Amino acid sequence: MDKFILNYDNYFESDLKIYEFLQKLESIEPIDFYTSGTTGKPKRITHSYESLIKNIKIDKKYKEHVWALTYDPNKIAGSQVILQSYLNGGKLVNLFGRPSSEIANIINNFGVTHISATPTFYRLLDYNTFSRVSQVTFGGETVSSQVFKKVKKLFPNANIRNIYASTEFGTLFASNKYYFTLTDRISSFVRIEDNRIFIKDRGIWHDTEDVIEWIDNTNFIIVGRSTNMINVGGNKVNPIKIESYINEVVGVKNSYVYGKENSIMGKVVVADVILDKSVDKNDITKHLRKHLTPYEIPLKINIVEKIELTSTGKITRQ
Amino acid sequence: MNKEIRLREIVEEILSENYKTLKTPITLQSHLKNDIGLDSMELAFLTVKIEDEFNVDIFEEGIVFTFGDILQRLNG
Repeated sequence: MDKFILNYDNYFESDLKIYEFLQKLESIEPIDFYTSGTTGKPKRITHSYESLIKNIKIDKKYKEHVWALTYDPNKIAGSQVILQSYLNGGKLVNLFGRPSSEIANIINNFGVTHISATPTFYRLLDYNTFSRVSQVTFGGETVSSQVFKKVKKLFPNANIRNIYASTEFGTLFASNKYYFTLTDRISSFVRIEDNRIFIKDRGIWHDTEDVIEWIDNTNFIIVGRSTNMINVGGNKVNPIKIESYINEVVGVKNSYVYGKENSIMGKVVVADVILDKSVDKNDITKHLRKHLTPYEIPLKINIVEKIELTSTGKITRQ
Repeated sequence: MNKEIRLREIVEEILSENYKTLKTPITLQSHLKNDIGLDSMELAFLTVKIEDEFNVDIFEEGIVFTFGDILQRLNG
């Protein structure tokens, strides 16, 4: 197995998890996965061997690919990366659980050619040039145009894939931009009503609770989950949009925007911000006022040491 | 610092951040909306600032209408 995982470490827990997963697979028994529980409790989904491998592409030329694993090997996204590499006789570099200060070096030293990760992963990745990476995949969270631009700089020679998928339904559609297109082909199983995405699975339409914004007649971006919207005096405010503007301010490393009870508005917007250099809160507010409506401006900005991420690398939201 | 003086400062800060100016000086009878000109969002901001600084939710006991009302809530 140390031939499969290039940076294999006997003592590293998540390397062992990868083995366990591959062993379970050999037995061809169905495997249980748990959704990330980004909102609400994690759900258990059981996948058969067939359903796990159905989206894996097999081809001789994939043998040379070196995949970086950034997801938990016990989650669906992790399983797909492991299988894509393993079933093609390729190699894996396990980044899951590795200290963030080592990640950039590992990517370069072990010759990673393919990476799939959440926008948060790429946003927190230190600036570097990863010239040998030929494919970069995003998934799991809203991709802002700012993160998309950063990724183009980090990986100048890579093909970019933005994937919309879920643990329940697998990969649904993809694009090579920060937005998606409602083509005729996907209209047979994707519907957008009231700016929400509905998916048809086995004849039944399901509400994904993912909210979109049209950028023109056929192109849209995913702006977040409907359950995450903050109701400020009747105005629905999207915390992810506000976070993406806060994160533009030089010196801001990451931010978390949420609603706080207020006797006048019901809820008002508050932000927790992590800095990597000294920033005046007023400068953050000034920047936000240029782009956001008054309801969207955080009434309080807290400078914090850390923001909790879920086990799948997404920001934990209440 | 005197609570009344600090409260005046806070109200003036909120007004200037929103490019507003006072039409008449603030008195205890000044109505927050009609005289001082605060809109709902600015009132919400006021409650957050006061809660932060004085640890009092001025709207807890019901609606506050004037500058004097707020001072009363702050003085307990």
